[in-house]
Amino acid sequence: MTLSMMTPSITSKARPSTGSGRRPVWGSLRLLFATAAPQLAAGTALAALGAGASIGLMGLAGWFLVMCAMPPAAFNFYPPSGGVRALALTRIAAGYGQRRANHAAALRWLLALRARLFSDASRLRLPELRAFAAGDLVDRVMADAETLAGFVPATLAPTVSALAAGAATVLLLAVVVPSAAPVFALGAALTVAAAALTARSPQRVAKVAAARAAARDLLVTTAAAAPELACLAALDQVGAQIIDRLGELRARRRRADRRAALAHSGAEVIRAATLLAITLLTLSAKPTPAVAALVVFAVAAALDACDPLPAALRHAIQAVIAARRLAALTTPADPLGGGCTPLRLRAGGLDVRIHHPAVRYPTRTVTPDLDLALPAGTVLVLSGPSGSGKTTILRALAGELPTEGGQLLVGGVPPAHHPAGQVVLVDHDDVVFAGTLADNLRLADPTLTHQRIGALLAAVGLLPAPPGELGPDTLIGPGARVLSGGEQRRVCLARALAARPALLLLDEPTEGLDTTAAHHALGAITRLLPEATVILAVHDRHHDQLPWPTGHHLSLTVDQRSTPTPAADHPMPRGATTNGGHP
Amino acid sequence: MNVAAEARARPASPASGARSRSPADARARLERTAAPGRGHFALAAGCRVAGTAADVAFWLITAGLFAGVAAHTLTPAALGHAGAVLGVVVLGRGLAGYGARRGADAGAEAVSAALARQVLRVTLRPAGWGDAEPAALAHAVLELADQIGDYHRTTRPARLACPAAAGVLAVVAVLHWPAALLLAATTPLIPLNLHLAGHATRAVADRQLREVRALSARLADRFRGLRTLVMLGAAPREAAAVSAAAAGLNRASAAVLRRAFISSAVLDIAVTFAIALTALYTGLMLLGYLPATRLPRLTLSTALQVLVLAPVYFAPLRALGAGYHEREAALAALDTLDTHPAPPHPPSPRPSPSPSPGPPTAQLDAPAVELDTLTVRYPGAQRPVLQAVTVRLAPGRVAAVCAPSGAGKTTLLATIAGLITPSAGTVTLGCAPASRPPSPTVVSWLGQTTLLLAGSLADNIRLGNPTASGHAVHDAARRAGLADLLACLPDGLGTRIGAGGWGVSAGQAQRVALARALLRDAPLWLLDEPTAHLDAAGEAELCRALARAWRGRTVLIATHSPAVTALADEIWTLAGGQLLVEKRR
Repeated sequence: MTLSMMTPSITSKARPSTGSGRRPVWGSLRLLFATAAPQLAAGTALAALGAGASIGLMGLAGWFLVMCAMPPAAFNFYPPSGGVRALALTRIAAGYGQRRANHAAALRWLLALRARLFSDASRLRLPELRAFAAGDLVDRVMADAETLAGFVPATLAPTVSALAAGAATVLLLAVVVPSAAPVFALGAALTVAAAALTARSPQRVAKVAAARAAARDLLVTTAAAAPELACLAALDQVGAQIIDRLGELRARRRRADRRAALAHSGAEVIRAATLLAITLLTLSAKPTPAVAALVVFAVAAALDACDPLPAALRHAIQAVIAARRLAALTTPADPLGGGCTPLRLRAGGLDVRIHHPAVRYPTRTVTPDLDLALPAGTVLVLSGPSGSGKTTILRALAGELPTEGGQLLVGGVPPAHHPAGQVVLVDHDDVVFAGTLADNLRLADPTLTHQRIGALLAAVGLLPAPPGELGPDTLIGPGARVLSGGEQRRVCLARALAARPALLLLDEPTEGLDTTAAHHALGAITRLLPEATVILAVHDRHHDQLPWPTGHHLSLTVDQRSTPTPAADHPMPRGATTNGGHP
Repeated sequence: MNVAAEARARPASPASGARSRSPADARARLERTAAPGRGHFALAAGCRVAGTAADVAFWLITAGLFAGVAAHTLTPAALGHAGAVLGVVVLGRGLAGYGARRGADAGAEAVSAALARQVLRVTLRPAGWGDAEPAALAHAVLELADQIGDYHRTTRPARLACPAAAGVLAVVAVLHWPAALLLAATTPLIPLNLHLAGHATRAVADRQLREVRALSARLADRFRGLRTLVMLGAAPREAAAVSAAAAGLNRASAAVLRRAFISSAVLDIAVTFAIALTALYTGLMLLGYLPATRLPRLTLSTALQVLVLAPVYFAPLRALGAGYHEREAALAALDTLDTHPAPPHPPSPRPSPSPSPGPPTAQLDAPAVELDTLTVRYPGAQRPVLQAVTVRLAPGRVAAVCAPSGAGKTTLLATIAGLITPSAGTVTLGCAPASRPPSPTVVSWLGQTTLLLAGSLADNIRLGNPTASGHAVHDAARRAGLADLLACLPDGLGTRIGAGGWGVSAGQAQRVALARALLRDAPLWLLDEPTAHLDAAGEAELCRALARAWRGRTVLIATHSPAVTALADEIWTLAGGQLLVEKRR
């Protein structure tokens, strides 16, 4: 499941740079030992004990029965029958305990993995973070951690059982039927080899992932364009194309399934043939019938313990891939992107200098044609055709995109050098977190009082709301679906205001708001942060939603082709306009 | 998983309450989803039965060999002979195992493929998208359907192969009937114990699983918003919250797991107890401690055979319990598939004949659009989206529908297109000589996004009218403002676009959609925020092209944009399910 969900999209981006990144599996295992050593030891011991009990039970039962059939003179019925019962109980108890202990170890590991993932990821540079938080990658990261933690119960425990059973059996055979010991060893080795055949090569995994991504793409677009396609009577045609795409995916998976079934059945045949060979060898060696029964039954039990090996190996490979992906995601980058000491947080606004910056995306470089020096405390409205680089500029100013040419300075230094909370970007895809609205605002400032939170929500126009509908204590579920798009934007805006940034960047803040609501929400910025520098990207057709009269803010059209010339007047410091800033 | 949690995290939504079913009902529904894989599962079950038969043969012969050794009657020749037979049995067993796996795999594929198709059928209906996010649809088709298939892969063949146990019992009965009686008598212990274990914990289980899903969605949330947390400087503070959420999730998962372990331990105890009882009985019989006069005599050979067949007898029964984990996952998946938004009323087949590919009834004159007390209510919603809307749009006029997002613009347009059947009231397209019910066949629709099929640009435009000539396609492309794009494409209209082809921007894709609509030449145009993703220049260009294309047609356009609104003859404002009309011209 988890394996089939992954795409190699991110692994290529963030290159491991530290020791833990180069050896992701060992790094993760060290974490396992550090967090769950007692559980792991108990689980391993119990797994071995359970395997031993199984073998003992079967062997003793066979021996006992033959002895009953031809009892020697002084045969005492009670010790062996009591032994059988004791071994049976041991097996059950060890099985239960083993599962509990190994899953406990896995869960502790999972907790540690997730905590480390979060703290590592929060040290990523903003550009890498943006890639990290995008889309459904997070869900996959969650699943990856689970797959990795599943290594303990799904791989480690069965492997320990099989090893213990194998070792015990080889010893037993070496004593009783020495010629059968190598046969058993060979059979076990062949079983493992057959299991290895089920392992899928990374290329194969990538191909399945690519087929899955293509199908997902088509599905998403189709759902968005459904009415048009319905009117064109093309839904059936598209449906057929989707089915085709899914069929391709299934065909790839079928090939992998067939391989796995073949390997698994092959392992089964090898095990049965081993048992057969050992039975024949034992019987030819002519030990007493009771001893022969003991050997054959014990070997049967030991071979049974090898049954989960193919699945265990498959899971091990998935766990290794998951560990690599997690490590690639969270390799802690140099936290300050250049080893500079962080600047002190400072009040007031920050001046901004933009001079033809070359902003690097993972696949291309965008150079918005922009040359300006913005004094602290200015409101700048960026407009221009989509694709002209408005969002690019904002993200670069927020330090989320690296620049490699030109000049982009905030307060005289590169954006990445500012401490958290000083430069805040409110982006399209900002998340309203599960919890209350107050919780969300306190993320920006944990000292906020209830009253202040109410004031902030009122400032952006979320309050007053009809009683019982919305308030600081309204609980938001994951995904924030109780809020409309416009409400989510305003919560994010209020949260940004609560951080009291010196440079506030807003990308399409009025999307989903009507003109009155937009006036109100944007007006809050100038009222609450009179000294901050504010840069907004606004569609030019939304200019009527700006609360500030012309002349009280600076307007710029970004264009990648021609150098924009700022309006004839100088950028106007806003001090004088704050009170009349909104109509 | 995530989608399910989201659905559950909306206690206020009556929809989730209305759709929740009793657990028994959900299980029954889950079982019904296995139908498409029936043949494959039957094959797998058959192979399993054959495998059990091979097991029986293997152990009967092996136990016989022991008896021979004990009685000193086993010759090397007989040993070799038996070895050859056993070799064949082993190979047969392997073959049966392969067949069982392939059958189960194929069955699971068939189930998940059918479910995916079913989801597509529901959601790829005109109004099937409901309020679902496209990503949720992809998740349903790609992941949830697989989870249900996986569940059936594990459980179906096991259940069908269950009668094999009866066969083993019959063999035991032939060997030594009291032993068969003993096994049969201990069998009910398994379901009884499982039932007791399950019953004691089931009530907790549903709650725990819900908790697991909610907590895991909450945890994912913190990761998703990590960028925001870092920017606000809240990440270090939130680390504790993340650990707490992860620990809570662990506690809930551990509770669920414990339940699973207990039921499997219970199963273990029952089976081990039954086998131990059989061993005790045969031992006592062999020793002659039991009244042998009343019972048939037991030889060593038979005793061994009975003892080794006991686990073989229980194996199919134990396989039944194996799908435990998968079942919970499958139930959750099915629940999400079920809560997948159903459209309010899919178009009933009666009034609107299923549109067939081809040009619309182009001869039709521009119709009047008449809404009479039109009400549309989504299932489970508190308020109707449209409430008793009565309005008439004269032929050839252009109405702009203005409303905040989510106020029902798209619903209104989809109802007029005949893609949704209203809960009450009627939509009529008034055209000479007679009025007619709404139908997608007379509509050109332009939405916020369009789908470019993998194929040539011409193929994509020709979607509007499959019989159009090359010249007509070229003309439509030009009128839609695609001349610039055409100029830079290597093969002009023949260039492959879409997946694996030439990359096309959002604005260009919208113009392809417009070219389709132009080629289609329908008398009624419905446009749902066609300029939402365009910049001002793109919007202006599209508006010019639209204004030309509209001439002589009835047009309804949902929009926020003043530039588009300026083209309209009347403005319809939609608020609280009511419609306000303002005539401009």
